[in-house]
Parts: sequence; C-alpha cells; structure tokens
Amino acid sequence: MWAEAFLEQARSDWQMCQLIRDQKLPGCHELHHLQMTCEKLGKAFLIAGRMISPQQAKTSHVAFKRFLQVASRNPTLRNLLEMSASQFRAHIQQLLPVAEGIERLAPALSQDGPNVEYPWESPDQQIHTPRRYAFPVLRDLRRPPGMNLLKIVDLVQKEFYRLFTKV
Amino acid sequence: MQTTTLKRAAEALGISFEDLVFYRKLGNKAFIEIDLKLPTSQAADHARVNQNHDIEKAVKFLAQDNFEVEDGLERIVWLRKGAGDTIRLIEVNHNGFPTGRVEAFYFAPSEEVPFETYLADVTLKEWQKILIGEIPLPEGWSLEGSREFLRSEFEVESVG
Repeated sequence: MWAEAFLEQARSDWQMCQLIRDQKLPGCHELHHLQMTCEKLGKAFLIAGRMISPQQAKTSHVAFKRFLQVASRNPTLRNLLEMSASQFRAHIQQLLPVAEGIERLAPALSQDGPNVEYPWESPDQQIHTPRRYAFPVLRDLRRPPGMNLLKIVDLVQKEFYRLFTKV
Repeated sequence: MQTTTLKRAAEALGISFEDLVFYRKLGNKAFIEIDLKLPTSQAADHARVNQNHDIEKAVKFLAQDNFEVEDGLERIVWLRKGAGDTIRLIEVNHNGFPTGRVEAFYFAPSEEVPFETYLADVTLKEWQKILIGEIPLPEGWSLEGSREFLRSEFEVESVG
C-alpha cells in the first residue's frame, strides 16, 4: 500500500536524520532529512485514510503542518501523551511555527530563498549555499518547541498503524 | 463528590483530573455515574463501555472536545449521507492552513470514539468555496442532510 511505502521511506529518512545529528556535519543535512521525514509522514497520513490518491498527495506541500493541527484533536494521541486537552493544544501550538519552518526548507516552498538542497541568491546579490548557511530553524530545534516537535515525529511514526490507519 | 474521590476516579480511568471534571460538566453520563464502589479497573471499564456508544454521542463528544482544543474552530459539519458507521467531519478553522482542497485525515476507532473518523480542516474561505461547489468534496461525501455544530452552541472553556 502507498501509505506504508511513504511511511517506510519517512522512517528511513528519520533514521538518517538521527544519525547525522550525532555527526559534526553541516546542519543542512540534518534539516534536509528532517524535512523529508515530515513531508513523507504528512503524505502517509493523508493517504492512510484512503481519501486521497498518492498522486494528489504528492502535490500537498503543507500536509505535515496540517496533520499536526488536526492531530491535536485526536483524543487517543492526546491520551498516549498523557496530556489534558488544554496541555495538548498548547503543546501543538508551540510546535507549529517550527514545523512550518521545516516545511519551508523544501526548494519548492522556499521561494528561491534559503533551502536545504540548492544554492540561492539573496536580495543583496550574495550567493549562499546550504552547507554554509546558519538556518535559524536549526537553533529552534535545540529549544523546547523544536525538541518537542522531534518527539512528536518519533511518536507518530511509531504509532502510525495504531492511530491513523484502517485495519 | 469530593475532589479526592474524583482524583481517584480519574486515575482509574487513565485521564487527568481536569479532563474528568470537564467531561462531568458536559453532562457525560458515564463520567457522572461512575461507580466508585467498584474496584478501580471495573469502574474504568464501566465508564468506557457506556460512553459514546452511539454515533451521535461520539460526534457530540468530538465536537465539544475539538472546540475546546482548537479555539479557531467556528463550526463543525457532520456529513451523514452515505457515511454509515463512519464519522465524517469538516471543521471550519480560522487558524487553518489553506490548501485549496478537502484533505481528510483518518483516526482509527478508539475507546473514547469507537468509530472510524475522518476529519478535514478547512479555512473559512475554503468552506465558502465548498458550499458553492468550487472546491469538491472527497468522493462519496455529501453536504446533503449534514448537521452543523456552532461554537456558540457549546460551553467552551478558554484554555489560554
């Protein structure tokens, strides 16, 4: 099934992301794999309900951010995190800006600006490379909202079948 | 009922004390009538089995819960035609992210909501386009016979 295929690849990207985080490599590589993890997870969630085709899902660019927002209304996920409704809402709200920052790292959404794959030119006509660029979102990931986002990514890919798929 | 007793009940149910108070305030019979004389595990089962066992109750539970969790929700539309024992909801959200289509996420049945649930979050503009047919609904979904829940119909506490 397509959802499983997207999930499998998301898990593989996530493994790479975690591996790279422990190495002294330019931050763009960790971010690249995290962005790909989130993108594929979001699409896997969309396809899992069999309400959208894989082709349609491919053109959905904000699937993960939207998923996070909708996921906050899933009582089962909330119970799994042992949070009350208000706690979970606050939790998700703080993650959304970081999730948006991650999604915008994809070249398709970067509007010819900072992205994790290709060089770009800034308005002052400087050429930048992902390798040298200090991505603000990398700093966000080391702070509580970012760390919580990483925990949610880890949790939802592990609990995918239990929470978000048809048996 | 005393606070300590309710805290014990919440623990037995595996939910927070605040949530138990909240559900009781909603008038959820299962949580109001929880029999604390039973051993804790039986009491929890008793409450779980009795709550949300019919689809309308489950939808109302979700609507109340979702209005509470997402303060940008203006209305929740329950699409019933052809849905059978599946819950299909479109939630109109001022804080939503526009995508120009109805993207429904699937939630597996759970103890609290024992029905397959599809939840699509749309912005107000997207909702207006859905109403005039500019944005199509997923295949098999229909607004005919749908039921709307407005935020104003529910007692929603601010969650800050």
